[in-house]
Amino acid sequence: MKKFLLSFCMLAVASVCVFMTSCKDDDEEAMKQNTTITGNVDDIVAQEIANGVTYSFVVNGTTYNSWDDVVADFEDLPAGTYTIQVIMEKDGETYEGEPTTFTIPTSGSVVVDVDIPTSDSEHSEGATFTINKGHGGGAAQ
Amino acid sequence: MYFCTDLDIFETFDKLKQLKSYAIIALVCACLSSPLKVWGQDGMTTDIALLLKDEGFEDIKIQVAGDTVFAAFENRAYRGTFRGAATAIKKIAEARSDIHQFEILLNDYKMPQLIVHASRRGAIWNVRVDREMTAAKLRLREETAIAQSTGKIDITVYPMVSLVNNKLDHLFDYAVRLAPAVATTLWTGARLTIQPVFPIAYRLDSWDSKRCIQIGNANLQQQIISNRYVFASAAAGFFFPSRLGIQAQAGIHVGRNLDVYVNGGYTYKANNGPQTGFGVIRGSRKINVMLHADYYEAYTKLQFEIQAGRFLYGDYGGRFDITRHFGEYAIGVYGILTDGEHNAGFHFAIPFGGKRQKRKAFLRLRLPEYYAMEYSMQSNSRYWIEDMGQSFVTQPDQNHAAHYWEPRFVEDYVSRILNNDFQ
Repeated sequence: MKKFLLSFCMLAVASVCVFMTSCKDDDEEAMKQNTTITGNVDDIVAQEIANGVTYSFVVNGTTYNSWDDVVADFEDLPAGTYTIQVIMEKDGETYEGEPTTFTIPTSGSVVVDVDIPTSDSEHSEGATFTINKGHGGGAAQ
Repeated sequence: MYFCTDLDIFETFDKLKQLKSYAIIALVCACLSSPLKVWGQDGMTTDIALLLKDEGFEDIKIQVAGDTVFAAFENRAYRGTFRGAATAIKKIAEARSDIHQFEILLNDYKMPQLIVHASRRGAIWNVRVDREMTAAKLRLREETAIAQSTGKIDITVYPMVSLVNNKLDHLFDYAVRLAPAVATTLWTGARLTIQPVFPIAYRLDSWDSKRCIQIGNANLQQQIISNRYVFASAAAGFFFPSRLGIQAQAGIHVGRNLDVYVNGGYTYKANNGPQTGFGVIRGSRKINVMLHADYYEAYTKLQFEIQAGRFLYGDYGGRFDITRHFGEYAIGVYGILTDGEHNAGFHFAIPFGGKRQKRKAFLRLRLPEYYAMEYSMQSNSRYWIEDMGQSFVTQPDQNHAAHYWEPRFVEDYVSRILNNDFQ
């Protein structure tokens, strides 16, 4: 009996921790506050800019001149389907990356592969960014 | 000159007859005494070995010297690290009232981990457990083990439940999976484990690998050395979750209750399911190295663990655990600081399968001895997204209760069981 109670208590504590910290917050403002963009695009872009090139990013027809601006805007974008294209300018020449179509989820995360033209006239390998919409409520596993 | 008289002849004849009788008796005694002695020891040894075999112990070696029994065995029947030893001592003591001293080597995958020295004075048992195993090992070296565990297969069905609370539009993501681990001992210290993971029910992101059938653990682990001073092991293959490579661990027993060791891995992220295919993801190589110190405080039954170094995905930091052992239950809290991020939570391991799951045949289907879970307060920050503070496991039963070969812990509970203070 004592052991059963101990087991029950531990499972109860685990459940309570998960549920107490949870919230279902699907209003627009909360979603903005809870959107994060991570990945290695900023690192790759920064490295290439140091080599003397400039980049612009076209998201659904809107042009941004820095990745930070893209990230800031992503946090405000509603769920839906978007296209991103990266354009590099080097010595007056323009190099276009392949456009990528992706979906921003209502909640959860999506990993987007993005094609970044680079200063050595090649294309980046493994450039990705992750859009994550959610809040931190804990995990039991 | 001397002539024999009739009387002399008769006296001589009687003496000869007498001598002949003595000689025959002496000869019979000489012939029988040694085998009798050997038969007596062997018979006693065999009795005890069969007794332990009936209880479900394996790789049993027995030697009896006077009122002392030296034994070594693998406990694949009783849950935990102490219950098997206590049961064996109890059974031998009940069957052989002439044995008063017990020297029991406890093996894990055929490799001795601890020795239990137990003696009875009246109704009180005195128990000491340590790693001074050399003398007993030498004594038992020539003995042949019965009920070999080599090649016997256990299929242990592990339930895996995960709840992640980080979504805005629903309460939590969940996954219920079953992971049957097929494990066998190949030779001394070697454990082969293959553990596919099958999804049963889930609500997960479309890209989440937990939706797919995966190879969880599929590796060969070799314990290289385990003695009073040092211990070392290595493993190669698939590790959980989704790593492929090699792992090694080596350390020293600084004191009876304190271990210091280094644990490192050289692994790649691996595609390990039918949906994703099988193979190594290029550029995913990671080297992780952690320095650990593990101390057990016997009076409070608290286990303190501190580790620092490079976590699995390259972040540098440390983790501190305090675990309270309640017999076979282990409940603990932890905190992690790594690359400027932090996390905390708790973990527990509770008994799951029955106290005794005897292996009656070559193949055994069983429940795990413990069910373990860890709660993390982080589930969405940079810490979570960038997989910080992570490590991988090489065995499905890696928790704070199973295989916990801590001398003072085992000593305490063997003593309590023998003295009827713990069930």
